[in-house]
Amino acid sequence: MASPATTRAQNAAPPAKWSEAVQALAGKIANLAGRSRLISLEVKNISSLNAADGAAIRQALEVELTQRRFRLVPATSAEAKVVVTLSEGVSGYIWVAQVGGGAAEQTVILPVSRTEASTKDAASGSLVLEAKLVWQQAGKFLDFAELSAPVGFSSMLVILEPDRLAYYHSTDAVNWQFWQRVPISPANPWPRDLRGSVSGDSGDVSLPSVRCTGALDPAKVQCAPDRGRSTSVKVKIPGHEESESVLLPDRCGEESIVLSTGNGDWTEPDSIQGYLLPGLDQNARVSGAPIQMQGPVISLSCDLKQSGAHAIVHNLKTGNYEAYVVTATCGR
Amino acid sequence: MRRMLSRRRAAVSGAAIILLAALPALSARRPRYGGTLRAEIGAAVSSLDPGGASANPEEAAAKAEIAALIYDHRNPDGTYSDPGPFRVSEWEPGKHLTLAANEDYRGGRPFVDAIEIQMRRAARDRVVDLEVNKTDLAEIPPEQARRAADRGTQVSTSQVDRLVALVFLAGHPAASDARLREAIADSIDRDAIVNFILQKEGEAAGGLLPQWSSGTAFLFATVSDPGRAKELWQQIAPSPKIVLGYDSDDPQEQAIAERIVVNAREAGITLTLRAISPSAAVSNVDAELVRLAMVSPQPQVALTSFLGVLNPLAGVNPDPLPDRASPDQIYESEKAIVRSFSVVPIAWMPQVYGLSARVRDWKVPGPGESWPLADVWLDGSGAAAAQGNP
Repeated sequence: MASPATTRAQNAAPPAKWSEAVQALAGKIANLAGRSRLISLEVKNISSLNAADGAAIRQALEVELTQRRFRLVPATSAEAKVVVTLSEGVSGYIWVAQVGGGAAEQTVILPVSRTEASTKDAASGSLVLEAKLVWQQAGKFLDFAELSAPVGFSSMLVILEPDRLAYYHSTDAVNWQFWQRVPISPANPWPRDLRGSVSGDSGDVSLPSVRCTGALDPAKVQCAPDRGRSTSVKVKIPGHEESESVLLPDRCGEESIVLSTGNGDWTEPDSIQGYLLPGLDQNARVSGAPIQMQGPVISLSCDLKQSGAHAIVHNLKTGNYEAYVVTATCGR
Repeated sequence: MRRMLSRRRAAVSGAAIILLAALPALSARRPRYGGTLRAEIGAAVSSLDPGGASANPEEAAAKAEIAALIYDHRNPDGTYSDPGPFRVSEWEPGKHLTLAANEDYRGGRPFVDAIEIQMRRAARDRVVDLEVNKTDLAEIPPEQARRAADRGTQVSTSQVDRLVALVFLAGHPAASDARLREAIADSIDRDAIVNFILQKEGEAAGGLLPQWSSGTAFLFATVSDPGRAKELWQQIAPSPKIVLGYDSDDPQEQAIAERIVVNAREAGITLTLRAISPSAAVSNVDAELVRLAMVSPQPQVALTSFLGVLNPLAGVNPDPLPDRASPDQIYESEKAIVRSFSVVPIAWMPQVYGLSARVRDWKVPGPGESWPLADVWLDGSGAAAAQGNP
């Protein structure tokens, strides 16, 4: 869980998550530039990438092109002008390079996946939140559980939808294949604001008036009407009752960590903010920068197994429901 | 160095509810059940039969929205099946419709008890009714959004997802010269159309997909080039007479068409306008203004749908896109159509809705989506907080 502290200078280095895309784009630019060795490079960012990421990508691209024996010069003395635009569409980032200019201009387009959001640039001494996109689909789902497996074996992802548990498996925990499903049939129609949870730790599946047994083993899971009370842990914060809040199992020094969503309704982008709590009877204080999501956070729950939180987000741009694991680390 | 986080699992596993000290207070976000939502539409829906004919596109669109409220599924053949979140309780064709919440809806009973839909309300009347709190929900023209907001109406605007384009009709000899089409395209001042006619509620369109969807719209130029237009027009002799058609029921379309004629005249090009009734078959015009609504936020799906409309009109037949086309392939397909100048994108417009102050959780429908009225709830309606099904 621990990781080395990062300095500003190190932050300027290309983030590892972009290096593959930068290499691919540099390769495409090299193909179009042909024999031209003196090139100018202009990078425009019209996407939601922040300025730091934009600058880091530019720097990484300069390094890549230099390693491919190009010399970067001002546009006035360049044999070929290269304009790179960091753009964004509904499916992810779109990086575009225009090489040449005028009638001879050639264009390459590179799709780059948008899989991570983080607050790594947060001030030191505060919580750093990271949200890792685990799953997305068009249909609504309520929660998910990742069941990891030893290397070489198949990992399992369980998606709790209103009418079924959907099982997916993967060898790399990235590319998931549908495996099988277990139907869930409530005795009465669900409420419109249905909530539910599935725990990878205990194997519990919690829905209003329905209980599933079988420890998430698809061969054994059975869901049946149940009048028992839900035993899930809820965090209630005075003055904050209607937001999604969760107390994480980890601590930052002596302080507890609470994550809480913003104050919008379900029609606007939301954020997740970290708080530090010296004691359960003391006031919580904001710590670090919030993570901005692309839609409302409709559910935020604790994941004991991954020592983080599960966030279900309804992405307003794509219409998809997205599953994130949100983790918090405390910087010094 | 970052510190290791210490575990404290027992602290949360032992209690069902933990009460924490105060965080900054937040407003209500949990839905409540109850109340009647009042909506107004411009169309006069004469039949609720989703398969029945519609007098115009506005009625067809309204009928589809109503069908999505009273049926759960739209089948591939266009028919509807299974009970939806609402059922019809009162119906006066062409005038008024009341829908009641379906208590047994499998997706959960809607939050509101009923929806009253008043039909045949002109755009201006809808804006006024929103101002005087006579209705809760109405679609309003984009150019009236600012005025409505200034007068206190809550305005909900979608991403731009409706394209206005000029289409040169296939088989019309007057428009068969690509230089003529390019000259007219170059003469159009799209920014003026967006700024003055749409009152800045839109974007100039250079491609067939908006920037937020494809990510490549910035590669298409939207600036006018009257000098190039003049140069091209002077190459064509004798100067042909071009007739531009627009929807006679649509004042906004008329304003855009008139602006195009002014721009063309500034480049020395003569265009003649002709109003076309939506129910009449298109004839004796060489070009017409069309409106295209995206059916999906996904660029490939939206472009394919547009081509389904444009191919028969303009005779553009680009190579079909492969399954799961790359952004590069989609861009090349768009470019081929735009560079034929048979279709001239002009402006992207959003959907704009006015809402009363008590409407909550309204999310303006995205491309291909219906009004989310099963998820809307009314604040301050005296309804109880949702604790489950009422």
